[in-house]
Amino acid sequence: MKERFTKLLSKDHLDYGDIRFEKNNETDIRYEGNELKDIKETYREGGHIRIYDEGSKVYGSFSEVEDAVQTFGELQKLSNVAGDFQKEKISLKNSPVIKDKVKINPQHHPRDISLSDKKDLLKKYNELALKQDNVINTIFHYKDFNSKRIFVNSEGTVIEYELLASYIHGAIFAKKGDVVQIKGVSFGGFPEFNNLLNREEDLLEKVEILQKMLAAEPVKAGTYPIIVNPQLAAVLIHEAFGHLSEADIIKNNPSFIDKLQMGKKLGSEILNVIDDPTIKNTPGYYKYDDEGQPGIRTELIKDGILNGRLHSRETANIFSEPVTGNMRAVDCNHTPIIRMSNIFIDSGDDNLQDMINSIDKGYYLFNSKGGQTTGDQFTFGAEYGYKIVNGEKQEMVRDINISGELFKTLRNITMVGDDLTFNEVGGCGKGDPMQLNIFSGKGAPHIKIAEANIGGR
Amino acid sequence: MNYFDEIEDRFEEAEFLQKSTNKVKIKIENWDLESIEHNNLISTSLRVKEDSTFGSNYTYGKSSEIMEKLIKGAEKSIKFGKEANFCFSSDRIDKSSLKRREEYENTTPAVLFDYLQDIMGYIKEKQPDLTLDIDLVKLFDSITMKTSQGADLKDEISNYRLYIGSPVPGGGSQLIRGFESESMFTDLFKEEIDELLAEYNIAREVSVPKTGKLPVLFSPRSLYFVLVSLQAGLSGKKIYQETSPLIDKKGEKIFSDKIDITDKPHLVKSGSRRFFDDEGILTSQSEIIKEGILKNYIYDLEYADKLDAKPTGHGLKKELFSADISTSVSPNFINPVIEPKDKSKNELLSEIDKGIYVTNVIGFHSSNYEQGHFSVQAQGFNVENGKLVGRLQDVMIAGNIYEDFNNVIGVGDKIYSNMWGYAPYILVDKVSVTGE
Repeated sequence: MKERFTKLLSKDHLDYGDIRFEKNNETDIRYEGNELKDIKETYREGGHIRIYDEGSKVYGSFSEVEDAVQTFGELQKLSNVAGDFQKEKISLKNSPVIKDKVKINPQHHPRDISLSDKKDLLKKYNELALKQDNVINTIFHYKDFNSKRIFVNSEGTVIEYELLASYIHGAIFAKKGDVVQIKGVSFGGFPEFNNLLNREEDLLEKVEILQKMLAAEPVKAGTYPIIVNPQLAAVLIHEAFGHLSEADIIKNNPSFIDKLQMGKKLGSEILNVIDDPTIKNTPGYYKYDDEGQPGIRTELIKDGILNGRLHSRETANIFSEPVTGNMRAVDCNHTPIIRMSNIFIDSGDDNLQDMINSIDKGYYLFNSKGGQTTGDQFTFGAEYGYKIVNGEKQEMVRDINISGELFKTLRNITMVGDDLTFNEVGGCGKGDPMQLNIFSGKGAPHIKIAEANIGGR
Repeated sequence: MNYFDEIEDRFEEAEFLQKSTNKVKIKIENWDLESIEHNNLISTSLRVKEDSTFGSNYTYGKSSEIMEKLIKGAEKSIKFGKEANFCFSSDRIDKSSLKRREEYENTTPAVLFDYLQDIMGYIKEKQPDLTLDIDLVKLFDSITMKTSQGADLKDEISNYRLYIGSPVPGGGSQLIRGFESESMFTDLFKEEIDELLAEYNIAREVSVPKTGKLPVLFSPRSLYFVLVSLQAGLSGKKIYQETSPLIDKKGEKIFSDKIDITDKPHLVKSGSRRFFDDEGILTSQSEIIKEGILKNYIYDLEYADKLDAKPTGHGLKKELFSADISTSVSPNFINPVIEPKDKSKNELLSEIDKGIYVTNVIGFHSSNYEQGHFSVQAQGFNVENGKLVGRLQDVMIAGNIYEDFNNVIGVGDKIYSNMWGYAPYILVDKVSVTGE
């Protein structure tokens, strides 16, 4: 197959071309309430071709190896038309030719576990949640995904590599009177399946919080100082800053290029933000991206100053900055786009109690319910939180959404904790249509934001 | 579809759904060609039953090896599968169209580029300093289904989509107008583009309202959050699971009497148009809300069976963030339309002394939306004395659709597509706005 693809790419004088072919095995098991809704092991294969020619970029996906030639021909025809329309010619930053094979060899591979055992594991957690007080419904989803990929480009690079993950996501619904509250549960195996075992105590802890959420008051909308726990701070840095460090988001937006010049002061000197695909046993660990480039650690914000950006070969060329190996495709139906690997706020010197003591009237917020950004505007939800009054943590609040503007929020990070923690399960939505990349990790310590806009219910 | 005979031999009951999608997407960013995407993919879903036990699988491609793996996967799935008492469809329809296919094929990339040149030329003349982004997409879906119950269904859908947008000056949020059609556009949408350019110029200034209960004019695009929340409430699945806030509310008033919502699955210009759902049940126009009163719930095969109701042709492979062959079937609107009334956008704006005009909402899914709650960042404009006075920044709106949309002041006279269906402008009174 590698030879066929190499031959295909070399038969015409392209500026550049690459083909990625994937063989993907996936297991999906889903309980909703007492019902087993879905259980299947799926195999699919397919490929994706990118052509850069005459300064323009065309790409497309195909379902089977035999379709590659036809797809390639159709893309070439489009490329011929596109060249006339293209004003600024696109070109790629030079890259060394790489030939490599990368295998993932976990101690506990999900393929060695039977479908029956995976189902029983999920069933056990689901039943445990369902029998707790006030729980009216559950959604528990087990998924494993093993993608074996071949990447070939017209420059001679040939890389075989793979991605592997297994995880459990749960949503537990509880009801008391008219109040319905939902608590999320996530266990991740990136790549060790055994991380999903023996998590009953973790699950019960989450249910206990859910019981308290039922009795909590909705938060009062307004502007407050807040402390954000590591799980939520990780989502904040991912949503609010991380996406704007992806060069494909800003490259055609003049106002962002201006606001995000290298060397610009974005926060106080206590703020350090890093993207790093080299941290093993994290969701965003990988050796090569889907453009055949080695993934490297990038210091995005160093001592409050913008220091780095996430790049493809194309954007690295535009910005005259280093290629960082952040081009990722969720599967063979999609072209790679620039995505965070593991983004995190690095540890600081502050401890949590000092943060709480520093607030007269504010909130201590926990865990993300998801977030969304458009440009420098972001919104994300917190699962629950606590009031802080005169430096003391008080009663629980719920129904919390935070919104803000990136640059103001970064300037408002006034304390950074010493307790960096990585989220167990990855996830990032980007692209049109939205593509969920599970191989995107995030982490943070506790942080204090001096002023945040909170919307209640 | 040759594989269906073999599938019928290997399972008691089977449902075979195959979708062939051809897509060309031209992406313009900051006035220049960013990329062209061209996909030609075949995807297949197989759902099977043996002794009332259910199994499923899906794949991409069509070779015999791929099909054999699809069947073997379904055989494994059914060994562990759930009990299912519903029957696969026995409906028959053929809506394939040679004319539509020929039209699609004749819309060459050169035709698309010519149209883009015209749009870009019009905007360049009016607002050369704008950062212009455009997506022009042409799509052709060919859908076939067969079941062991005798269903034999075919449909072909061509759809053209145009998104014109620009980041607001100095900021990152986008001003966008979206259009769709079953055939290639000829209209340049000058009225809508002029309106967008006017908004762009007002967006140079930031203007934030005081926190309080204010009238809010929702744009058609922003109103997808109401449709998604309402869908969750009306879903037979959520009713069965007892998480819907609309259980036993049929016949009751849940919105202002100015609100009528109809599901229109056959609306020709819509890319969501379907003559049968993803379970092969024929679709039809259905009244959802009439004068604020809840008229009908929506069901797929499974939850119609569980709730002893009739399937309504709303079983789609669609969830909030996924809508492809791998997604399980659940009750979904096909193409919901909030019906237009009698007021122009400017008439609605003129009724606002102090309030806001919301062009988009951000972070809607972070709220407990299935219960109707929303707590979202509002993108749009501050409004004083009926005029836009500057763009919003750090403004949130919060509430519950089943409370706030009882306070509707007026409904616009024209509908536009959004991510979930079609809607007019709607002016709602006394929405909780967090600003200054």
